[in-house]
Amino acid sequence: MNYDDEHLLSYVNGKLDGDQQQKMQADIAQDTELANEIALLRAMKQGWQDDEPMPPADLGLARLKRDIAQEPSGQNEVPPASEPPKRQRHQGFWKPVALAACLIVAVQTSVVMFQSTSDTQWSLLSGDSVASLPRLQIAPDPNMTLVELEALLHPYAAEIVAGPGALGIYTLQLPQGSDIEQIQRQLADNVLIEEVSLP
Amino acid sequence: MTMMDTPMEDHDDSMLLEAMARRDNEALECFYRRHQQRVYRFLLSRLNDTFVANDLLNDTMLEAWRAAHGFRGQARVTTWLLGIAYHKMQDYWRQQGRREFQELDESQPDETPAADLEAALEAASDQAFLKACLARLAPEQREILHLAFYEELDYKDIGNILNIPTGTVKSRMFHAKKAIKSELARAGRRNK
Repeated sequence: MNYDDEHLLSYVNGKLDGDQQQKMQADIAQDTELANEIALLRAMKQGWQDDEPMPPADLGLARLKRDIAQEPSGQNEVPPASEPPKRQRHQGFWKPVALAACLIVAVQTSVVMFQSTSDTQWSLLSGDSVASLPRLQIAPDPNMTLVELEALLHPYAAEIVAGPGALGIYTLQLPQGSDIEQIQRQLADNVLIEEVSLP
Repeated sequence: MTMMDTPMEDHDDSMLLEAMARRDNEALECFYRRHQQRVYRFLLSRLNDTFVANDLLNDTMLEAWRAAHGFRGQARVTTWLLGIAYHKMQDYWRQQGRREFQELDESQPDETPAADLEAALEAASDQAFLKACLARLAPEQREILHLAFYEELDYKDIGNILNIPTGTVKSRMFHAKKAIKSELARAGRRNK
């Protein structure tokens, strides 16, 4: 018996091409040990396929929909559509109201600022805000080491701020003013990076 | 003809993911119904626990919903989806503090004597007994047999889902078969 397991499996799964299939059948007819091996594999396959555990379809779907509804609002937002939505009439009635509200907030802010002390030596206890810095999410090749990843990111001065997550995804933070689209393209072209996306 | 003109059930998996990326609930429902059985069985092949398998099925589908916009078609949708399910299982095992599976040496040849093979074959004709033997395998071995026999995947695709080299797939397959054979052969000899 000169066949490896993968070849035998392909035969049992009906994945061999015509010639290979015929050769295998001829060999099975002449080789009892091979015939027994194939019969055992077929029995195992049958045993696996006969077992029909069923998930609770409707309950499971209802649970999934509930969980999706409970996702943070950003997760369920539709990504930008290719066509702009059709403009509807009477949609802009809120604009004067919003403008007035903005004006009130601006006036109140300027009053508060001019009344405040001239102390400028303050800072947030939580440290400087980094929320405005551009970010990217990447999924590197699973076999890539952290050192290799850091070397790859070095030219962009990108810093790993989170990850890897369950799916091997890292979140990167780039310096202010980085050309995020170009960096995204360059990383996507790299064979060691499987996925690149905006967070 | 556009996507809007055809019933959702007629859309292929990539089209469904595209629609899911646009947060189309009907596409999600269709995708879930189409793949729930496959994912559930895969999870169960390793976990052997229907409650946990249900939880992880939900987590897998939720992740597919979140990540639908990132699917680029580099792998088949089923490979991509089972890959997500696999990572969910890995996370679960880690939370349970389970140790990594120890790979066994694949270099040794299969030296099951012909008489044992015949005895194993005889025992395998009893489906209930065969299932009991399959259930006793290590989770990683059940998982690989499931992908090979139920999903009918080749070693390369199995390696992609489990994130292991093809050589490791070969090794696990070899040892799963060997374990099954020796269990069945023992039973077959006892019955004689």
